[in-house]
Amino acid sequence: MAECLIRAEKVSKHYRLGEETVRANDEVSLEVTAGGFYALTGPSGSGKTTLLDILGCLDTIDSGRLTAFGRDVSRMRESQLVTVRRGNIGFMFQDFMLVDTLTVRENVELGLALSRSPGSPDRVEEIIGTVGLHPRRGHLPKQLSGGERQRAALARALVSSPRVLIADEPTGNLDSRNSEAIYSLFKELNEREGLTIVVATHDAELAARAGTILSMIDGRIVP
Amino acid sequence: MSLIKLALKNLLRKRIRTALTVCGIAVAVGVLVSLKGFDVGYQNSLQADIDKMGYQLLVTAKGCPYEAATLMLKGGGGLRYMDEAVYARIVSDARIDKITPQLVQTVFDPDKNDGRGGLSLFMGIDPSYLELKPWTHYRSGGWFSAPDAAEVLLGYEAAELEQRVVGDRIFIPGVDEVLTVAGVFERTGTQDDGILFMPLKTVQAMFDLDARLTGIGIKLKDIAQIHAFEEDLYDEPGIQVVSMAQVKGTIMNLVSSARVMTHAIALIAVLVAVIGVVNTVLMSVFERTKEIGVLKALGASRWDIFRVVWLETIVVCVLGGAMGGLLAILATDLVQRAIQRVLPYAPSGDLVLISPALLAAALAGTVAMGLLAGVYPAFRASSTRPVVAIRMGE
Ligand SMILES: Nc1ncnc2c1ncn2[C@@H]1O[C@H](COP(=O)(O)OP(=O)(O)O)[C@@H](O)[C@H]1O
Ligand SMILES: [Mg+2]
Repeated sequence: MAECLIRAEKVSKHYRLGEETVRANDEVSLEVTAGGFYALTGPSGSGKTTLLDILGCLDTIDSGRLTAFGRDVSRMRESQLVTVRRGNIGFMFQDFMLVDTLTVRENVELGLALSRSPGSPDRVEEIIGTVGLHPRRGHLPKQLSGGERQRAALARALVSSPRVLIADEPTGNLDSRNSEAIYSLFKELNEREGLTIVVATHDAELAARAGTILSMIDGRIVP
Repeated sequence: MSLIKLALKNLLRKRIRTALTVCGIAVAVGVLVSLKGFDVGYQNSLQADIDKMGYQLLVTAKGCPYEAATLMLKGGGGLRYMDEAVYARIVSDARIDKITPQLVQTVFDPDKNDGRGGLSLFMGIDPSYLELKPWTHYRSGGWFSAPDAAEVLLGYEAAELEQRVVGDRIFIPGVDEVLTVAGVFERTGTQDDGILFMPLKTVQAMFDLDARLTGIGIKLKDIAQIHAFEEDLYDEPGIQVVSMAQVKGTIMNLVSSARVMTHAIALIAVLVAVIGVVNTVLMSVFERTKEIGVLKALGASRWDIFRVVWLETIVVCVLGGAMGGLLAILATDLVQRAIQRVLPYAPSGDLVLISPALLAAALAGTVAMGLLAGVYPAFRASSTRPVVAIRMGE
């Protein structure tokens, strides 16, 4: 049986908006096992982003229990969570979020430096090659197409060789051809290198390419 | 990929804004450095001027306003006269190294300043005057032919102004006398350069001031005796004694009110510049909230973010400081001329002295300013919560 990397047990995250309490995540239980490829689907506002933030040790939880990489992170503060993230988790976002003053290579180098992972210039070149951006490595984000930017963001997320890639609607701003390219890369990295992936998406067709599809409604995972 | 590079590239993001902020600091620091340079330069020149008077004490007629010493230094008129007998009584005091009597007189010359008129300064002296000023040399000619000769010795600038050489005649307006130029002095870099010297007796006769003096310059053998010597002269009727140290104090006092004002203005300028820096950096932090959130998601610690923003602030301040120092150096002449116009007494040396030490201090000051100004924006940036930041604008 595969190793369990992240385990959520009845994890909840609430927001108070005046009188009302929004249950962004409502007693969610989930296991992310090594080598898995998970797709989170569900309507907007169903809690996908919240769950990804929690699984990615980016956000704190209000109740329940969260174990990540062998550590109980349920009560950790943000300053402690950052050490859990480093080298374990890579992030991708819908709007790429590259540093726009830095070139592709510098963005990837920054990802490596901030994660405190051992890595060489070779590793940076290698990962840029993996996402097919070698010819564009000296370009600034604004000189790239959306698809290229998202591939640069993928390289930045993976340069530190994290165990889990968390991607929040990574193809939300891309056309179908570029979306297809990103998912092909995901599939390849998952199958060839055993990268664990958790991705949120609206697109049922893309979700179908994942090993496990999880549907969310109103902050809960529905069977 | 170093965080330093990230910080520097952030500054280039909004070039004009960064440049304006840097300029704000440059102006403030430039003004401050100029003022500090003036503080040092003015005191130095004043001291040099006073040292070059040659004497430590000046005896003047009683009732001569305290500032008269200042006027004297500058070479003005409006002075009272004392009896030559005073000189005769104190000249033999054993504590005196050198002593010189002087009689200053000003004459309005309608031809001066391209017909607008101006004051010519005459000073009656005897040979002891030059003994007090051993650095004075003749450019041409020499001492008066007799103690009451109708002759004149010209300071370097006075000779230039009057366009006279040895042997030329020179007309004294007001008293309608004509004198012969006996000699011209080399430049001394003091007020003496502008004076027309005559034998003491000649001035006394020409202006109807028989046996009168305006001052007696005294140099003691031992400066430590200055207070005892001054006290002994209190008994002498009709005179007062001013030490050159007091003159310096008086002049510094006159200047000090202006100094306080300008320093206050400079400090306000610095404060405004610092607020400008804080504002600029805060703005750029807010604009980058999302990016900072992402950096944190990627593994940046609070300290990582703090450092980047802090470094940006320091770089802006140091750039401004360096430019300000340069500005101050370039503007030295301009500042000097402006100061000469407004000051009650402007010594003849460099009024603004910007030393490497001053520049180093200014740069150190701007680093400190950057450290301080950067704390709040850096703290705000480092406190960014990644989840909130990344969702911003959704
Ligand atoms: N900071 C917040 N304050 C208040 N409500 C929030 C906040 N973040 C998310 N929510 C709410 O939590 C719910 C889940 O949001 P989200 O996880 O972003 O869903 P999804 O990603 O599936 O669209 C939504 O109703 C949203 O409005
Ligand atoms: Mg979402």
